[in-house]
Amino acid sequence: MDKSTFTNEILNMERSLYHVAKTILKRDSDCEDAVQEAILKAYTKLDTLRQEKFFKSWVTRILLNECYKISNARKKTVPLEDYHEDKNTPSEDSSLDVYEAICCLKENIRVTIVLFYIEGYSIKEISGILRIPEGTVKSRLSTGRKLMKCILQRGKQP
Amino acid sequence: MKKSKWNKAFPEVPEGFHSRVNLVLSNLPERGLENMKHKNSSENKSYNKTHNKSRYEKKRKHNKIVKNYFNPASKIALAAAASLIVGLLFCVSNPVLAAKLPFIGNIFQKLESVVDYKGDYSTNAEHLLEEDLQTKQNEVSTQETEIPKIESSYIKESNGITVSISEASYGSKALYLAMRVENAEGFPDDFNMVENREGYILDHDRLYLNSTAVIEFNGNSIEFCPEKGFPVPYYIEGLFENKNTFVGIIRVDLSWLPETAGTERLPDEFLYRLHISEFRGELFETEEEKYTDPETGEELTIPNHIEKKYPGSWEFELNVAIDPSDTQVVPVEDTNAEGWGIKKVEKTPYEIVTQVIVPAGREMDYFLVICDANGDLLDIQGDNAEVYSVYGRDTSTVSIYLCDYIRYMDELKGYYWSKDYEVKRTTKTFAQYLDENAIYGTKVEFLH
Repeated sequence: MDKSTFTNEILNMERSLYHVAKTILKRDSDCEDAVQEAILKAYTKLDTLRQEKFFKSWVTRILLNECYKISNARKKTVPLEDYHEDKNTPSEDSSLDVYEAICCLKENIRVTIVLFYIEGYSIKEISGILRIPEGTVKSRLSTGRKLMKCILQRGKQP
Repeated sequence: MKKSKWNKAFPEVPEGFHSRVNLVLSNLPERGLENMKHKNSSENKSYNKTHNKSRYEKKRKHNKIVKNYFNPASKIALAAAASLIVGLLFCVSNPVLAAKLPFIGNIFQKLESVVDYKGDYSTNAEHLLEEDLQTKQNEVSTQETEIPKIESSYIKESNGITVSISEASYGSKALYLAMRVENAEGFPDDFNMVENREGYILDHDRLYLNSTAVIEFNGNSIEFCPEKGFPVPYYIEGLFENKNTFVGIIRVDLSWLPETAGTERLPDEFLYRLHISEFRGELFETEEEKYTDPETGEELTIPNHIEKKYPGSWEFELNVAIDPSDTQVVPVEDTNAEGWGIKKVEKTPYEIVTQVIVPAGREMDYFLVICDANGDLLDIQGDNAEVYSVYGRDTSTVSIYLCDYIRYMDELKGYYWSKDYEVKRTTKTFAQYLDENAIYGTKVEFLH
């Protein structure tokens, strides 16, 4: 894969990269840092990718690793703006949309839901990307679906 | 729950993110440049400066570890490897002694009924290390060298950890490898959960690993790694012999290989190259993760065990030869009115693998269940929930069911796992119970 193809592939999956990063990281600036590192790492290690058809899941895995690194660093120091921006618990009077409902899920379930429903990865691919058994992927999807239903129903209540 | 509908629910890419992606892409050097070190390149320094790298990045640079290949731990590792080789030379020159030692030849025998993926591997095992060392010993003897130098492609050392694959048993759905991991500095007691963790109920331990694999056959080369969406071995199940030594069995799942290779069936012979880049295990110590339960709003504290990691590089090449007559293939090609069904069932000496037929869009709505000839649930072979074990059970006839996933998890499996199942099965076995409750069911007979 040459530079031009690499650039085009990354641009094609820009939206997907943002969604994945946003699933782990709250701040857009952190998402930018993560995607920068992921792109550079992918480009540097491009020779290790033997089949281009796996490019998207390969880059996604690299991006997730970068996101987790930033997320772990963030856990040690919580900036003031994060404290105010924390929307982990939905407000009682809001009518929730799907995105907000996803944000309410626990991180490992949230990532699985986003990869399957938003980005369209198969269960086998998610198993590979997250390094978890396929049964666990199914279990997380099932749990996530139940929680989503519950959250969305509660959000629609007057 | 349509993917397209959900996709629209996510926010649009912000301008800042878009600009950063473009900036990074426009600063990429041309391919083919050696030693691309992006963090130090002048191009990247410019945007790092412009965008004011975040605190975690700066801290990471300060914490950069410089490897010292001549540190005391490495010296100990070299000494251990040397003593290992001398010991092996002595053993292979004395076959009676070799058979008695755990290192050569009996890891399968010791662990095949202990690990989760049980099987009679020792009966069909290839004794890779023993045969290789025997050959090397003969070569050394004929050359009459004073200091015998011996190497085996089944023994690899890196960063003070010596890894060997002594036995292998190959099947069409999985490879089973007997592995010994010897750490010169010793593993933490925490890893040995069988002996040291209170309340631990399993009779085996796990050592986790990061790995990639390459399979080569008929001029084709397929690389497998988690990033590409294909599971590779990520743990070994076994036992600690002592503080320094873990012995275990790796199960390499091959049930996905034909689909990936674009073939109907697995080739009978291929080269399997396994590269391990890290071993790791959990310490007792935990770090807390805060989590707000979205249903109740309750603040929860989740303890996550801290991992101790051992990076390195251990690569093995295995010339795999599978006996196709070991695998019985039963074509079923049957569906019900809703489109649920079974395409075919394959049985090896160790496992049963079923190819299911699922209505479009229902790929995650089912759970595959297989019961033995007595109507009892078979165990799962390893971490793949759709591969069932035949170990110690009558599988001349099996009952195969597709159940609604949520209903099976929430209700149906409780029948089998209830305390009074032994009483209940006298009037209704689990298979008979699923006959009434599964969304699809069929029976399959095997010749043996």
